[in-house]
Amino acid sequence: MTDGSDRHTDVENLETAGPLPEPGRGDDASPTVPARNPRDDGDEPRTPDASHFVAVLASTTGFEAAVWVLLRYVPEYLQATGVGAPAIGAFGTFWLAARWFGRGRNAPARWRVIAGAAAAAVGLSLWALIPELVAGSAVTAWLLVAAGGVGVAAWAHAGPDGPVGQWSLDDGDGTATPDRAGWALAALAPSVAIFALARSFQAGYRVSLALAAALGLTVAVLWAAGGLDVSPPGRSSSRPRRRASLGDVVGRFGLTTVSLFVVVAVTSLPDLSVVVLGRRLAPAATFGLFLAAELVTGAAVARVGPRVVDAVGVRAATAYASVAAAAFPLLVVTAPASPLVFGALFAVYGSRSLGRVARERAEALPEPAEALPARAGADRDDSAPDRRELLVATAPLLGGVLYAVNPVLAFGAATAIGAVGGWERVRAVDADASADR
Amino acid sequence: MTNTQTPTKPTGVKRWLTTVDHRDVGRLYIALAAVAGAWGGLDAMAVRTELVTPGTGVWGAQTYDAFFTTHGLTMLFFFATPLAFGLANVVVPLLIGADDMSFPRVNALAFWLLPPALLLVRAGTIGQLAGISWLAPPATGWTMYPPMSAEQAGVGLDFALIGLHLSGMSTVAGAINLVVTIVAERGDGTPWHRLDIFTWSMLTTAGLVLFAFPVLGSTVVMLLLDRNVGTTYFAVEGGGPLLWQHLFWFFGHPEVYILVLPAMGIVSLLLPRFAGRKLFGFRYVVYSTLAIGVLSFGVWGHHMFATGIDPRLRASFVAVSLAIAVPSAVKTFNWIATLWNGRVRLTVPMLFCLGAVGTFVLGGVTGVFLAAAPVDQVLHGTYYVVGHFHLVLVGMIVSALFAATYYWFPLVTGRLYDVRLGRVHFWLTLGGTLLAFVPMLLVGQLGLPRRMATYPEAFVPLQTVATVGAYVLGIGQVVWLWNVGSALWRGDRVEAADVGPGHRGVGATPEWTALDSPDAEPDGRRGDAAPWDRRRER
Ligand code: HEM
Ligand SMILES: [Cu+2]
Repeated sequence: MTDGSDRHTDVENLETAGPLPEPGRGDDASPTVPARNPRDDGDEPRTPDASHFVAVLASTTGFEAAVWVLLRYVPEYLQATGVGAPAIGAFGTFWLAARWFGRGRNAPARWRVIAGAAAAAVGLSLWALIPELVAGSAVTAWLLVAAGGVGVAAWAHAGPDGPVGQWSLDDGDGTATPDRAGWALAALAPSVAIFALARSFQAGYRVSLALAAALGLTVAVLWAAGGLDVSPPGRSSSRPRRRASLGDVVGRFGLTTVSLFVVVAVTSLPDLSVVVLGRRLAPAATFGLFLAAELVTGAAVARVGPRVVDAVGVRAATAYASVAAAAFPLLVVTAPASPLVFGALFAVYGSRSLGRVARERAEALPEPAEALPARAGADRDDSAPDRRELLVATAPLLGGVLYAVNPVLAFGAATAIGAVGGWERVRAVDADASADR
Repeated sequence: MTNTQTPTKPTGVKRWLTTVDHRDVGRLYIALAAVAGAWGGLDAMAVRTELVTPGTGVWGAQTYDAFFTTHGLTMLFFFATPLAFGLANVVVPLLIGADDMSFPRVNALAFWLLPPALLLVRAGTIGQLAGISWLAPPATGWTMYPPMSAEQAGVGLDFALIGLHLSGMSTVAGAINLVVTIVAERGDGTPWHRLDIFTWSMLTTAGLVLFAFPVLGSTVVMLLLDRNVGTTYFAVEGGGPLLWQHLFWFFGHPEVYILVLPAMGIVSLLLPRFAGRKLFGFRYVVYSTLAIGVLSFGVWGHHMFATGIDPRLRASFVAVSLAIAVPSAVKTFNWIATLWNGRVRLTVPMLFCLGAVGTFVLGGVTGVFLAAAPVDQVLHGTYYVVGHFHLVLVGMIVSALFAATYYWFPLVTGRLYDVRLGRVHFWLTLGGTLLAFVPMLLVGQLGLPRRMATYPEAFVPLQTVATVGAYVLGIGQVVWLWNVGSALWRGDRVEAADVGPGHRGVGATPEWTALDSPDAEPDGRRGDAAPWDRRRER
């Protein structure tokens, strides 16, 4: 603007380089109109901000949920492209370890969300290329899996709430809140539809990958254009995490050995098919329905769990949750292959979060949560890294090796370890109770 | 309400079913275009979804063929053309100071031919979804070349041909109306030499329609007769399949300019307003528009270089095709010169204008390569062609149309849109376009044929980029729908004096006076009509 006035001569010269155009009715009357309207406070008219907010919120949370859904199917995808079980397990270990080393989140900085979403989009796109390149060279394929994984992990780390890291591969009981279940169901629905339509699991999964990648780029652009000034309502980014009890760690270790292989095991059962509108659903779509059952009971527990715990007592609730969680792996490989049985199995498995509700109840009831003294194995410590989590990260690798030997062995081991963890949990409740007395 | 006009418009549904007001008809056109655009967009997503895997992963070859056929037909005839005519309907009479279109009833008729035409063209899709075996969508490509189109079984294609015929009648009726309106209804303030650039473009466009669409109309009837009555217009023993290509492209090439001229007019009108300058070389922009109008009827043979037409004929088509690039380039240079030393304001319409100019360079230059017959021998029938025309059609035309919908949004809806969402929409559209269509240029140069559901594995990486780009483009339009929807639902109402910079602030033009004086509406034909009226109720 400073050199505006002397530039005008240039402008006019330039225009008279040809015959001056007659100003048409639709033309600017003069070339010297002010560049900005005085009333212009930046760009354009007042705007309904809420619609932008809703768009950011919906696409960001939708993307998180979509990544979650995709991660549930990664092992199946890798297996379909010929990757062996130990390698799939190694992927899980890599993922969880990366999460452990990347822990310690700050409030979401805008540029980190943008970069994370863009990296995830690239990573997901790379994953979509795996089948062709795996045929070419195993090394390239592995580089692709890892590079894609790094991209997705970047989002898990930088995303506004990091739920991908929090509710993905290690099957803790932290998955379910009604909100999250709602979003996950919303992301699951199109995937189930795609799997039902596609001619092969691979094709359907690759379509889902491409769609999610596009959504990731959308998220990046939305945040680049403003994003959210606050983290979305109802989701705090730095909720203090309770240090896990010994029983929790062992139980989670057990489940995590095979959590990756659940999808592989379930989709390999040929009898397990649902017929919808005269069409046999593809196994992956059927698995999606089971996942939905798990999410729904999980959400229900989040709603009514506290009342249930109050009614039956902490000990009973903990025992129930421990059994539901520990029995699940063995039942997956031994239960009769009927959709109803498996639907019920997943639904019961989803209700395992009753254990967490019971724990929270137990902590909240006797004394204010802040003033909690050290308890048997359940001390509160937000800052110090919990090295035991790193131990859990090795579980998928172990599970993969066992699975390669024999699936029933792997799932049986998971149940055995889970049972030990459950027993320890119940014991801790009893110990607490006697300490209180 | 201060409004005491006597003959009031009906309200509610009746208003929209009976209106002959050019602005309401224009709004109907725009709404129909939005619906058709979404429908054709879903087709495109389905096409790209199939291409995620090199084999037939999702739909299978026949369904894939149907998807790209209905995609092309829907987008060209029911999205782009109606959107341009809808915008013209709203603003041309205002720009030239006319009371309304010359023939308001013909105007309404032209619109109301379109919904049945759309349903006819898409009848096959509906039939397929409903499981009606004899009603399958056409799977011939939008160019419907015989002998394939003469032989394809089922009435879906016949319905589509009838639908195209109807849509052609609609477009011709609309064009007649526009020509007569511009020639005969201009107000005192608008002699020829003060006609604005958008109106010039629409006048030329309408002229092209008058010569091109009747050819399409008769050609599809000939095919209909070949299919159903046993005539031999395009049979080998009769006129021959090549006759179709001559007739179709005699319509088809002007059609692409019917689509691009309104877009060029929009850019020429809007870009100067946000550059703080007059349109550079206004007169030459008009001349180039008229030149394109004339030349566009002399280049159809460039779609037939690979058919073995006489080499001398081919040479002349090369010459004219290269020549038609000149006026397009003239416009581009004029736009750039307009920006030069201008003070550019990156409003949402301006972003779309700049994106349009940029991608037009890419799309236009790739077209010039195709115009050279030897190059076209190699590239004809490959993805390169698809990349070329989508960079023009999506990158230039759709972007310019969006620029116009944002610019005139307050005029058409009486509401303000969310600017940030508009910007997001722009970046997703531009980024999606480039991601989707530049890889097509590359795979085309590597020799990948178009219109195939499968492809060799080596093309997977580029095809995947293109698919992700297409999905980004698709999601971007969802953002647009959300923006428009929430603006209509709860957006700020327009205060006549507060439409913002670029509207009132810079070079106020006559169409905006409609906001200032809603009571001065033509013929008192309005009651609750103009939505900006409602601002007074607050
Ligand atoms: C700059 C001047 C342009 C030149 C020299 C040009 C040249 C060509 C040529 C030679 C082809 C035939 C390629 C082939 O099939 O082998 C072609 C195809 C096409 N062009 Fe352009 N073009 C130009 C601008 C445009 C514009 C402005 C549009 C759209 C508004 C457009 C839309 C198309 C379409 C739709 C096709 C493909 C039709 C089909 O086969 O389905 N072109 N162009
Ligand atoms: Cu052409």
